[in-house]
Amino acid sequence: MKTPSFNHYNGLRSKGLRPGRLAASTFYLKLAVIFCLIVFLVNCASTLSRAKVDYAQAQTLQRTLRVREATAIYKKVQQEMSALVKQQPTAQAYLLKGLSEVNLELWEEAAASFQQATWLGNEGTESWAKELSLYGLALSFEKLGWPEVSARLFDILVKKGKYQPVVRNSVGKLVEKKLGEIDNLARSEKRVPEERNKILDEVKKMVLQTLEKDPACGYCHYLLSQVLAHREDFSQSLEEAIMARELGLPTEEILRDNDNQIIFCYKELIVELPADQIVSFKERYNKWIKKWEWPDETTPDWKKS
Amino acid sequence: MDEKKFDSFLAQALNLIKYFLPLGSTAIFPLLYSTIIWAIKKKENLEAEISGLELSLDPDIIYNKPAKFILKFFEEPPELKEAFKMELEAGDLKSLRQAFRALYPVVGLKEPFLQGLFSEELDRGDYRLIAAQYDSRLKQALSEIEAAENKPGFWATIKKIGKDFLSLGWALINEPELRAWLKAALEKNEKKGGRNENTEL
Repeated sequence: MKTPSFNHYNGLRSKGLRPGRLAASTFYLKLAVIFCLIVFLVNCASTLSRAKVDYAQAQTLQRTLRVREATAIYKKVQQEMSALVKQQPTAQAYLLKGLSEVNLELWEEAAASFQQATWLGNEGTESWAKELSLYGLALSFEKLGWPEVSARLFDILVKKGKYQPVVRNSVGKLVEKKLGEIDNLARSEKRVPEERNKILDEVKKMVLQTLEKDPACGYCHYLLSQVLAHREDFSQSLEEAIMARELGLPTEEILRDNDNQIIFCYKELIVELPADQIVSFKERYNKWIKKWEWPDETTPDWKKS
Repeated sequence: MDEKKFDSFLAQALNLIKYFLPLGSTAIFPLLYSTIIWAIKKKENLEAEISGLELSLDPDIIYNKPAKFILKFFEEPPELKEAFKMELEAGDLKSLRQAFRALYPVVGLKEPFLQGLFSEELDRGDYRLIAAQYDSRLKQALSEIEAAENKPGFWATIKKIGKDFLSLGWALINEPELRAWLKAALEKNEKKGGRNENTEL
């Protein structure tokens, strides 16, 4: 009797797969897996590279005041990176996700992304995560009607923060608050000039310190110009407003407000300056407005109807 | 400007818009007005101009201005001086500052969307009403736009309307005149719509 020989390929043979063919199919299977893996990695890398290009484009749009278009791209980058980190969590993908979230003002999400980026090896992002959490908290206190607490948090961020968007926004919040205190002084009929000057000195010092860290921040020059106008130093206020315009401002609204500041200072200086300085002042001023294509000294381009 | 041409342009524009916003919505007039201004001034950031009003993507402007700035804002244009004569004479800076918060973006920064939203008050010189209703009216109009934005193609349609206006060759029209034309044409359209509804009934 012929003993049936055991061959583990029997079953496969019956399906028409011989050992040679099986080895080949295993080889092709491995090849396919490797190919898929390469495609996956290349795809992840190209998604990341594309997202980096998109992010850079959004930043350019934001600088040219096309905020809405920039926002749409930040949203796209954030969605792509959210999907990517689910497939392949890398520090870079989390970093890009966090940066987009900062621009979308999703503070908590951004802080969490930077924290993930830190755990995955990106050292610089740990402090960003902390600063963003603190900034989000300060905004919450402000909304809930706790101005003193929020001011304290903004103050910490201005003094110790390293992440520029957070520091810049915090300075703006504090300047507005402190200038409001001056207004309250006048309302309470204290009208103590020393107290007023003390607040203005403090605010000026704070903005100057921020500018030392980031001299090309147009928004900080805008803030300084606003503070100097409260001190009635219209000449310096005008210089700072011109600098702000030249360096670029974050929104159309701020740009227009800054233009109004330029005109306000111009009108004040025309009255204030000694007669022998007016001609040279007007000459200098007119060079700027010519550059900006204003129809006259007190009409910015956007006021032309 | 040719009235018939403008009416036909507006009818087409409303036909496009009605998919996104219900006719009679608060946002229609300011949206159309700022779209046309955007097209005339060849700006590319219409969405930013409108949505930027609410989005605090970037820092805000400083509203706490020196007293001189506030006073000049109210004293220089005769219509504002007249409207706030009482406060100016009494030196009531507190009330002036409150009104400034609402009026500065509309009158001082000439935000086209806000100028459209408060066009009737601007034409009548009713600055006090703008100051009183600023927050509620803006909130309502922006929430309507936010709902419209959820439908695909909203901004593309709005930009198309702007470009269609330019193709009519009326780029030199001034802003108050445009507001008046738009208002008259919209009113005419509303009456026509009302009549059609009645006939259908």
